[in-house]
Amino acid sequence: MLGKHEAHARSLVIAGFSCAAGARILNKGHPMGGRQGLDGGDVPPVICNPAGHCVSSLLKMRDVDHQGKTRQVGRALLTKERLLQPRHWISAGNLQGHILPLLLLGLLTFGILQAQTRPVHIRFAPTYEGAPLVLGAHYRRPPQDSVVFETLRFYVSELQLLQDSKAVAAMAPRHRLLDLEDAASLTFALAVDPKQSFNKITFQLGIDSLTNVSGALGGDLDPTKGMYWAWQSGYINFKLEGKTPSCPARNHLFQFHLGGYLPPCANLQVVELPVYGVPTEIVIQFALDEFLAQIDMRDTYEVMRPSPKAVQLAGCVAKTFKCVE
Amino acid sequence: MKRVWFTFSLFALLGAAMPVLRNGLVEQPHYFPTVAYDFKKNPITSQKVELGRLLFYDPILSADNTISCASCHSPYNAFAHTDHDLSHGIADQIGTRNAPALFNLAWQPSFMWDGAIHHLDMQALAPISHPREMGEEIGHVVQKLQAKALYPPLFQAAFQDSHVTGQHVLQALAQFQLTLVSCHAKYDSVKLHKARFTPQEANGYALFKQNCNVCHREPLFSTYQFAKNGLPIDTTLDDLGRYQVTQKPADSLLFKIPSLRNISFTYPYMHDGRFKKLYQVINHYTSGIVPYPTLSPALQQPIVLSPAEKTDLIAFLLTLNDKVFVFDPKHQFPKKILMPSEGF
Repeated sequence: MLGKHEAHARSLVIAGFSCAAGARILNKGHPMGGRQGLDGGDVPPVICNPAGHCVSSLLKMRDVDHQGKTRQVGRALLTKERLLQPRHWISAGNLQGHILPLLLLGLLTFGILQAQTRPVHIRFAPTYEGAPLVLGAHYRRPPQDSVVFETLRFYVSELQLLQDSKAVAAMAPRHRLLDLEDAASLTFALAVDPKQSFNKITFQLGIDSLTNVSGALGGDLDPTKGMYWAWQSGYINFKLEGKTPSCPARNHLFQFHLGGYLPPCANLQVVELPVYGVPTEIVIQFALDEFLAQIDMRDTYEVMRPSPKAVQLAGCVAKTFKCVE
Repeated sequence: MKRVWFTFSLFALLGAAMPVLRNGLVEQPHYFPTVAYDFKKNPITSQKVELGRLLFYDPILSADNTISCASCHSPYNAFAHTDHDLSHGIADQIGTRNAPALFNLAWQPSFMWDGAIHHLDMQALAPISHPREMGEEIGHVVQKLQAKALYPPLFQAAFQDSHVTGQHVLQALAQFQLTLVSCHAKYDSVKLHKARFTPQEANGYALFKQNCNVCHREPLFSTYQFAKNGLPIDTTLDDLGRYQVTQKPADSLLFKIPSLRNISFTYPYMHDGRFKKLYQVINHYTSGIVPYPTLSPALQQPIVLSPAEKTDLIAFLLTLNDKVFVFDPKHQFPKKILMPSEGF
C-alpha cells in the first residue's frame, strides 16, 4: 500500500503543493521513505535527467490501480490526501494567512523532489595496465615496444541504467563527447529514483544513423569538435591517435578514426554491462592495453574511413569496456 | 470529439507553418517535385539567409583569407567556375574536379560529384577543410568569425546567440544556398504557358525527351543519381568517382548527373571540365562513349543524331538558361557590408 501512495505522490508532482502534502504523509509515517515495501511493478517508469528533474513523471497524470487498470489521478485523490493531512499544518496556515504556508509547502515540495532522486555518478576511466591513462606518457607495450597516446575521444549515446530490460534512468542529452583532454567530460551523474534498483548499464559507442543524417547539430555534436568527417559526411564515433615504434607509418603515428553509419560499414556498437549492488558510482573502465593487445599494429595502424576494418575495431573497443566495482 | 478537434487543429497549424518554414525565400514552382531538404530542422529566415550570403562571399572562411565560396562558385556563372576545368584554392593549388553549379539544392539528396556529402548543412565543411581548397578548419573559422566585429551581432540576429558555433555557420551557409532557385528560364515560361518554343526548340525538346530525359529528367534536368557516362578515364587524375565513397566496384567511374539548367553559364563541362563547348558534349554522347561493362543502361543503345538534330537539341538546351536567376541582385556579393570591413 505504501508503494501505491508513493507512486501517487510522484505522479502528482505536477499538481504542486498538494503533492507536498501527500509526500509528507509518507515521510511521517515511514521515515525510511520509499525504500521499504515497494513493488517495483506498480511504479510507472521514471526517466530522470542529470539535473534531477523527473522527466516522465512530470508528464504523467495517470496511475495504475491495484487491478492494473489505468485511471486518471484527479481531484478525488487529492481530497483523500487532504483528509490524511495532519491538522497542525492547517492551523499554521490560518495563523499566517495563506501565503506563508504555501511558500513553506513549495519549499518542502522542492526539497522532497530533490530527495526523491539520488545521483548515480558515471565515470569513464581510460586506463593502461590498471593506472589512469595520461596523454603523452610513455607506456610499456609487450613484448618489447612502447606506446604514447595523443588523442582519445569518443561519443557515448543513449546511456541508460536498466532493471532487466526496463530503463530506470537515462543520460541527457542523448549524446555525449568524452575527451581525455577534458576530464570533466568523462564523468556525469544520473538522477535515479532511490527506490529503484538496477542491474545493468547500457550505452551506444558512437552516433546513430538518424542523427548522422540530421544536418548541422550543436553542443557536443557541433562539427567544430573534430569528430565529423569533412570529406564524406558522417560522425567519427571513436578517435584514438598515438605513436608506437613498431607502427610502420610516418613518424610511427597510428590513427584510428572509427565511424560510418551506412551498412555494411555501420560502425555503431551497443555496450551492455552488468552492475552489482546499489552503487553510488559506476566506473566504466576502458583498458587501452587490452584494446591494443587485440591489434597487430604492423598492419593495422591507419583506419580513417568507414570500412569493415573500422567495424571490426569498433567491436574490439566495445568489448574492452568493463564495469569495475 | 476533443481528439478530432485536436487532430484537426494540429493539421491546421502544420499547414499554416509550412510556408513559414521557407518564409517566401525559397521558390517552389508547382511543377517541381517535393524538396529533399528538411526545412523543419532549419526554418528559413531572412536574417539567416543574409548571414549566409555574407559568409558565402567572405574569404575569412579560408586559411589565408583569400578564397571565399564565391571564388569557385561565381553568381554570374550560375555559381560554377567558368574557364577553369579544375578549380583552384588557396596558394593557387589546383583541385581534382570541376566546381559544380549551385542552384535548386533543396531538391538534391546528396552533394559533390561523388555524393560524398549527404546533407546541404554539412557540405561547406568539405571545401573549408580541403587543403587545396580553403585549407581551413571549422573550429578556427568559428574563432575568426567571433573575433571579427561584423559577425557576432549578425549571429545574434539570426540565431539569437552572438556566440558563433560551427552549427550556426553551416546552417546559415545552407540557408543562403537554399534560396538559389533557378526556375525562370524560357523552359519555365513555356511550362507556365507564358511563352512558346520556336519550331527548332520544339524539335530539340522532342529529341531531348527521346534521348536525354532518363538521366537529365525535367523539370530539374537531373535525377541527381550517379551514372557512368562512358568518358575515358583521365589518367592524370585517376578519379574513380562514386567508388571512392562506397568502395563498391560497381560504382567505379560513376559521377553525379549534373543539371542542364544554366548550361551556357556553367562551362566547361563534365566532372573534370574536359569539354569547353556544348557540341563536344553532344559529340561524346553520339560517338565518344567508351563501352565500359557498367555503362549507364540509358547509354547502352547508341544515340544517333544528325548534325541538324544536334543543332536543334542545343537550341532547346539554351532555353534552360535562367538569366533572372544568374543576375538576381539578392544573390550577389554584399558589397555594402563586406567592403568596408576588408583588411581584417
